[in-house]
Amino acid sequence: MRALGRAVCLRWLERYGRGKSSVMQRIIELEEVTFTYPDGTVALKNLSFFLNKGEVAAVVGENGAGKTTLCYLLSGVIPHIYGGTIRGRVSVAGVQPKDLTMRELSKKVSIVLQDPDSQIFSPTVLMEVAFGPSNLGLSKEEIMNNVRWALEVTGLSGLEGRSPDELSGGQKQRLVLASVLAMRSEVLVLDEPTSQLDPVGVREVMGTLKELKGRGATMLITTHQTEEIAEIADKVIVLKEGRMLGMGSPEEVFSDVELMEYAGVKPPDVAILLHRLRRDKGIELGEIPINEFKAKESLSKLLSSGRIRVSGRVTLGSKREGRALIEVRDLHYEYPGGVKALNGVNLDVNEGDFLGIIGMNGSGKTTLVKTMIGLLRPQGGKVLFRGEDVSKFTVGELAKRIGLILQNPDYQLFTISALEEVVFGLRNIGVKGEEARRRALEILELVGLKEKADYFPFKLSFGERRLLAAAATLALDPEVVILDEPTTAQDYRGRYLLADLARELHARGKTIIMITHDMDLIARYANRVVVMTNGKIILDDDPHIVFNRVGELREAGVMPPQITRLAMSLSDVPNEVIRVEEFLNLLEVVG
Amino acid sequence: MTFKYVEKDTLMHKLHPITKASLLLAALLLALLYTYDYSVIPLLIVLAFELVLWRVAGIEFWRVALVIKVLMSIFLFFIIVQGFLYRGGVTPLFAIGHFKLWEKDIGEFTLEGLLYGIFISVKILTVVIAAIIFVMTTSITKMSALAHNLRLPYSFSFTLLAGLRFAPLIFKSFSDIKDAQKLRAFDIDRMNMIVRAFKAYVPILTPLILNLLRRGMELQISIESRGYGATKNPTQLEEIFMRPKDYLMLIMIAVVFFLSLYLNYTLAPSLYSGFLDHLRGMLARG
Repeated sequence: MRALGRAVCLRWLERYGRGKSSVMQRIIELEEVTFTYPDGTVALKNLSFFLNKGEVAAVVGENGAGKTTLCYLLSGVIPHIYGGTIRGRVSVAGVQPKDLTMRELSKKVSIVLQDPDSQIFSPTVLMEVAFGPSNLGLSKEEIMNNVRWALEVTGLSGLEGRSPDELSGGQKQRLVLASVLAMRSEVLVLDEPTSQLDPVGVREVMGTLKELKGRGATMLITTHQTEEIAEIADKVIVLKEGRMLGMGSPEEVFSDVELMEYAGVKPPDVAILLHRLRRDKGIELGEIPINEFKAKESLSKLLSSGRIRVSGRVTLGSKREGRALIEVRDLHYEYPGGVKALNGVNLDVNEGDFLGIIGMNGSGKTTLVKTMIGLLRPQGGKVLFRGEDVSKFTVGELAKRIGLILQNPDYQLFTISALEEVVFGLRNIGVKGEEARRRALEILELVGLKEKADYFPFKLSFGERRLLAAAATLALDPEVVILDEPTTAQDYRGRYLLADLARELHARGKTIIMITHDMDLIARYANRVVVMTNGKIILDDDPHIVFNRVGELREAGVMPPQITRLAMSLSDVPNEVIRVEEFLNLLEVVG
Repeated sequence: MTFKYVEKDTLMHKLHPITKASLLLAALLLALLYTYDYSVIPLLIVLAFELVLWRVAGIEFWRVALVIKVLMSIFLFFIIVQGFLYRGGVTPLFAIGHFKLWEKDIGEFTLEGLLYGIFISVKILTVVIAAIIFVMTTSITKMSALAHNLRLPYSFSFTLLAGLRFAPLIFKSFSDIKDAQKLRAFDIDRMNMIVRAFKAYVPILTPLILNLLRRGMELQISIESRGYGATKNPTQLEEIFMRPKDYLMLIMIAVVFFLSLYLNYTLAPSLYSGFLDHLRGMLARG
């Protein structure tokens, strides 16, 4: 696999890496750049590429591949805020970022980070956007022109007087974008701008980026969202362990399924499907498509030419008749200020369920779960656990029955070693001494962190910290395990670690509830899915059935998985397909 | 939060912050200056003037309902305390017993005490209303422009702004982290006071501080890449000038201020004692 990756890498480098002269103005240029952090970590190795004015580059790769370091290097955050040793030449808009101060550099290049909440500080939208240009000492007219333009591009016109607190996640990130756009700098660097957003927010921000590209902006965007970025990027750079694995157009890079998987980046499902059709079933294909429209064309051609045919059906899981563990009865919850988060919710969570809960931010998913574990007391209705009203228990007592694994592990970790972290929970329920140590090691083994038991939690990677927080919750041995957004801010490999753990627990007889925006996750793991919108449950069924209810899904702001959308667009293929394997099994080679 | 700037287009919103601040200053001065119970009369004139401005500013009552509610209980407390303890109290309204403390019978609730309690309440109310008018009609943009006009350093107003925004976020993180630790069977609500004081906050404050450090780092990247500190004097979006209406309002404030003072030293004592005698007479007859 490694050899293959190198070969592919060389191929790309020959074609795109060096020696290709261009009349266009190169606005970003890296020559043999190697960067080492003060602790000795080499984050970028011998990196060379360029970007012309008006081009958009997407940088993909697993966590730790060097994406953020690259962003920091281009925007001057390295070496002005974070130190380290730079070898090679970095040039952005005609200057070397290390030669100017951050202030001078701010006219040349701007950076947008992941979390909008730590970048916004003003009481109003207008003040936030005007902050940059007024620091530059522009005239009031110039500032207002820049602000008006930036708000228009990001679709925030009319919200000038609003407080950022009143904005949705997508709007907040567009506000951050607007506030760097108002600087009118020549290059925009965006470090995973959508990784903290729900699907609606992702669509909003990607829409804005597309608009910006249309207006000639030069951008470098790091992302895990291959499907969406394919429509925006001119070139894609694949990084792994600080080295460039390949570079090319989105079609060239994303269709190279083996390269993608080696790099730890999610290829589009339709590309996987057609790649496997070629590899496993020997079908000759021209180019591998990366979006469902091209994939539909390719498949239609194959189907009409009689090379392949569709046979068989998708078999749905049999109906399970488990006992109800959690019963939610006519639940109502209203936040102060009159926001109705739950509006008459009824739900039975049965033993053996692997239940997915989906819906937009603000649809009531999180509120529902918080009432189940006693963090919120409903104003109307009740929640029963094994027939007992949960309001009788404290949160701590309930935690032994229902475990919630939170999105942000950094809200929980505080001790000096991974082992201590798990022991903390055990001590809280009265398990002490050698017994606690033994059980903690057992749990760490289950989540795959046994070797790192003595590590300082903050030395672990984000994915490992999530597993450790999960271990801390699982130490209490709850019957029901709830996962809150198990894939947030995770790369392709990391995103399934928690879900795989949940599958393992499910096999051991636990009941699983998973709140997520990630439809692929539901398709791969869940045996039942609930769709929420406006504090109500509008669908509750097998995922194969739910993903075909396009109308309701649209109302809930979610889209079926790409592979389902492809199946729906082809009349011969049953619409219940939600996984690549299912699709593949339906296709039969003729002759 | 209730007590916060509300965007509107009224005369009071358009005034220079200094103008509104001088109303607050005038109210504060008078409240500190007036110590005798008869001063309630000149103070009521200031209060009436403020209520007119309140109308002009179009401040809805519900927005400050919480503040008023809290004030009411404070006023009630003052009235009760003064009713029983006021040393000039000679006309008992009712008694709950008789306890001599020096000369004063503190078991009796007196008319003079009641009125003195009301006087103190009016004093507080006059200042609070001026403050409400100032805060609810002055945007933060204007306040930072004011800070600029007063030649306060830019980093000062930036820190103020960022603080205003991040304080609620920090509180939210605190309660989220507390919830997150409860989910690990860390039953903070079941701990006794001593354990709580020494042990309970380690698992909450450690993640909170680490979290704040990360946020601070990101904020630094964000503002420096937007040219923070590039010039000593960043452009002020909202330039504020004293306009004719400001001078007019300042004159009105001055008139009310001096009228109130004049009354206080001339007519107020005799008017008040006449009013008091009238009340005592009514009580004696009734």
